[in-house]
Amino acid sequence: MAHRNALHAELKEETMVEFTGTNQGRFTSTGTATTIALRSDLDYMWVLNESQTYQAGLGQGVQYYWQRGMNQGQGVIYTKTAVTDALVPGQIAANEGFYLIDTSVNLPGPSLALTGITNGVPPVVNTANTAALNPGDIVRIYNTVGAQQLGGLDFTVGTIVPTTSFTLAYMQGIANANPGAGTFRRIPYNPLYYPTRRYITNISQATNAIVTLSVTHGFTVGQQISFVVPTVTSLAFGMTELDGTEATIVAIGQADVNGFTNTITVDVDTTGFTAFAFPLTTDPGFTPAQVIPVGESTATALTYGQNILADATTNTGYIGIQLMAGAASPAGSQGDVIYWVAGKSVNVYNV
Amino acid sequence: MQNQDPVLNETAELLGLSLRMTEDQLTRDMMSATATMYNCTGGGNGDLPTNLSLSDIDEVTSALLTNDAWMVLDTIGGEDKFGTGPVRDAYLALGHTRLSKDLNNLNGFISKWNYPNDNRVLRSEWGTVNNTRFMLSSVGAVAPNASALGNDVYTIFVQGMESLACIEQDNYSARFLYRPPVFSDPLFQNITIGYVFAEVPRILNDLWLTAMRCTLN
Repeated sequence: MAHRNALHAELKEETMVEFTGTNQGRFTSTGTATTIALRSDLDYMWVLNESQTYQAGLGQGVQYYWQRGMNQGQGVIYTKTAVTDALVPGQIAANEGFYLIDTSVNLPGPSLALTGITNGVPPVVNTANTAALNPGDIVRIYNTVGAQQLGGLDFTVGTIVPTTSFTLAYMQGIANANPGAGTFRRIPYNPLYYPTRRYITNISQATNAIVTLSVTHGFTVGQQISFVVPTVTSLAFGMTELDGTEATIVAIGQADVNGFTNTITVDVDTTGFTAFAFPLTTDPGFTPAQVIPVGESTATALTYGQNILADATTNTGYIGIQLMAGAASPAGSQGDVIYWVAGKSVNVYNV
Repeated sequence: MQNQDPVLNETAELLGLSLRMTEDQLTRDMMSATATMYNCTGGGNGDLPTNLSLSDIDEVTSALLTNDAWMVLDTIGGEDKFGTGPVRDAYLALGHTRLSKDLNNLNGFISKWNYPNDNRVLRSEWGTVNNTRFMLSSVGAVAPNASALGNDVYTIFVQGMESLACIEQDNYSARFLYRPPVFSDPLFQNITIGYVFAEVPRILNDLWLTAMRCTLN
């Protein structure tokens, strides 16, 4: 027992305990799904839609309950009856309730068919499968008949026309449209660590070049990046003078030539460089043009009042729960005030 | 509680394995997110990236050399043994175990079995191709459905010396925590055991590390 007693003595001062209790909070619904990160994890959750609770008999969901073991995406709804205000329990419809989230699980969504990609600015992806998409989501295009230069790349979703189409928000026009079938997947996660590498869709020829990125980037002014701009053909990617060079970000969000604002502006003069050119569908396979985060310019960050440690490698992973939005869903409708209580049990005995 | 010690020992072994595999996974995810990416294009499977090829490995090696990255592993000199051959000094390449078959069939691949000196072989090593020695692990990087044809993409991290580091935040990388039953409840029935991390993996020089992406043949 001696060794164990020694271990006891060494760890006597440790304060870590397994969390068994509750967390609670409040938010105002934006009308879109809301994710609540709970590092302590949770085994059950009550949600109260305060706004709708105070409204006289609307026949709308006002309370919601979820417990570990229930179907992912569902749970219990208590709907207020229109006449008596009594609460009637029921099951939340599929995909409209509670989703447990663990960002360390990086599985793409199901494969969905698309029927074409236009050569507009931005390109429009024609598909009836828009139900699972929200603006700002990430999608990955693959296995297309044309527009093969987009294959395997990730893009942020822009405007969605339900059951009809969505746009690739920050992609410049492609030379040839996709004439036929293809597929895409929703990518419900970002890389685990920030800051992350991003793909380039355009670079301007300017005193301070504006670089457009395919997915919402999250960079801040003062961060330093390096460029990867491979030579694919004699034309693409064009601005290979930038390949391997480093730059400091001096602005973010400036509109590029297409009006896209998912951009970084860097301290590199590209006016004399070859024009950037995205590869064509007929070009050979290539390594995408990329922006790689490499550090921080302390002087620039201080000049612009930014955090000098903004480039710190940060694990952004979390566990928690996502509440879907809507009149019969726990995140409610826009403007609803939502209260919630989430608990963690000592043991869970689901048999 | 008579049998607590054997149970504790067994649990400690399992948690120790979990701790180090988690450390590997975190480092892998950091490199997946931030390292310079290279798509293999020299293979013949028609996807993008293609399957691994000698030309791709040489391309990445050339880029690291040009960026003044030092090799991690030294030369293994030739010896007078049948079926063996000298091994070049090399960059370290970390990949998934599912790449083992493609590596076996790769032009120029030398299995670790053919190294002249067994003492210089690393436990997780699979073999070498020119100036790159491959270490395989079941927690190697895989991006599901990430290729142009929707196949899984495997990322091999080819790295030079001191290209990355694991930085200890509070004078330790990870800590193993054991709380005896005296802390749990009035009847001293339950112990808790676990670990916490206080380290951050970080690329020190992006020019010395390349995330080489490929699909399977």
